[in-house]
Amino acid sequence: MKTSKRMADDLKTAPMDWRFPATNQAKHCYYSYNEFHKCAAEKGEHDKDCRKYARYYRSLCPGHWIEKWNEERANGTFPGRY
Amino acid sequence: MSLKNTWLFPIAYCDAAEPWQLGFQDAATPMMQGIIDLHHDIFFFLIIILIFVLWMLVRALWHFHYKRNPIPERVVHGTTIEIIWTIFPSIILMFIAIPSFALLYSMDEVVDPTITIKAIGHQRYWTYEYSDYNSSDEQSLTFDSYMIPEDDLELGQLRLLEVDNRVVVPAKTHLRMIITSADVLHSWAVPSLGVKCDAVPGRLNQTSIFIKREGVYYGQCSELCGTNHAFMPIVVEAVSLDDYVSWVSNKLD
Repeated sequence: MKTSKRMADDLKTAPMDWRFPATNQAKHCYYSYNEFHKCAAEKGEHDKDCRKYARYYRSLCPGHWIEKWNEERANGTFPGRY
Repeated sequence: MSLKNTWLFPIAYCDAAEPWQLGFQDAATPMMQGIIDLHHDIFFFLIIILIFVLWMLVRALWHFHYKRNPIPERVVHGTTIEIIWTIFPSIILMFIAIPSFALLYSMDEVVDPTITIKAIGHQRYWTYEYSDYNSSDEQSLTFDSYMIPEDDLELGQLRLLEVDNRVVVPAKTHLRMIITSADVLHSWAVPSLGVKCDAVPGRLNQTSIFIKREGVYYGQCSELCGTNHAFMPIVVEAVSLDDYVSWVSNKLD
């Protein structure tokens, strides 16, 4: 029961972002992914802001997109800056 | 709005396709209710115009029949009537456009969602990802949703509509659905919720849903996607927030 109550209050997800008002949120997903890695490069993965960005990109981006980008980063072929 | 006397007059909502169905399924979201109301507004004008046009047609055929009226009319101008039959339809169109645009712009009203659910179309099934609870890139709550074949149906289940794993969502909560595809075009459609959103590979189409009542809502893939296009339905089960939280907790464990 306690877990249940805590989880109900914890229900949250990536908010609507006015920089990405259109129906297609692909750019929002890509931007969030890059924002996390930029934050991780600057402040470290476990920083509070970085964890927030991580939650956002995980909510928005499909699993197979994230896997593909992670593989590209591991291979050094990821097109983003970080 | 909850009807206090529903226990006296239990209502069974039409949230799935019925044989020989003519009208809409019952609305479960404000959007669908808006669509149904707009349909009624337009239909009113449609019937008026239909009766008027049919009456003119029948009158013309009756009064100008070659036996009754052997010499045809030679009227070629009529400025006043031409002005009337241009202005009058424009006014009708304006009456139709007002509720239509009101509904269209109300779709863009933005409320921060509480939950994001991703629906990924594959050939012959849907995958649903609930990634708000991931603590790493590993997908913690994801499942495939296949249609239950006809041979495996139990008594009372709907043919070509039932699935093994339903999309469980909380009612009275703002949801964000992100629809995409892993292969070809599909479309995620649930008529009761007033949702139809194309699943395009490379795009993450976003749509907002707010389900007003608990229930089970059925829909089908709405974009031709191969031989099993007719066999990849969608079932959304709206439950109370507490039930949703227990379901998520069970799935995560």
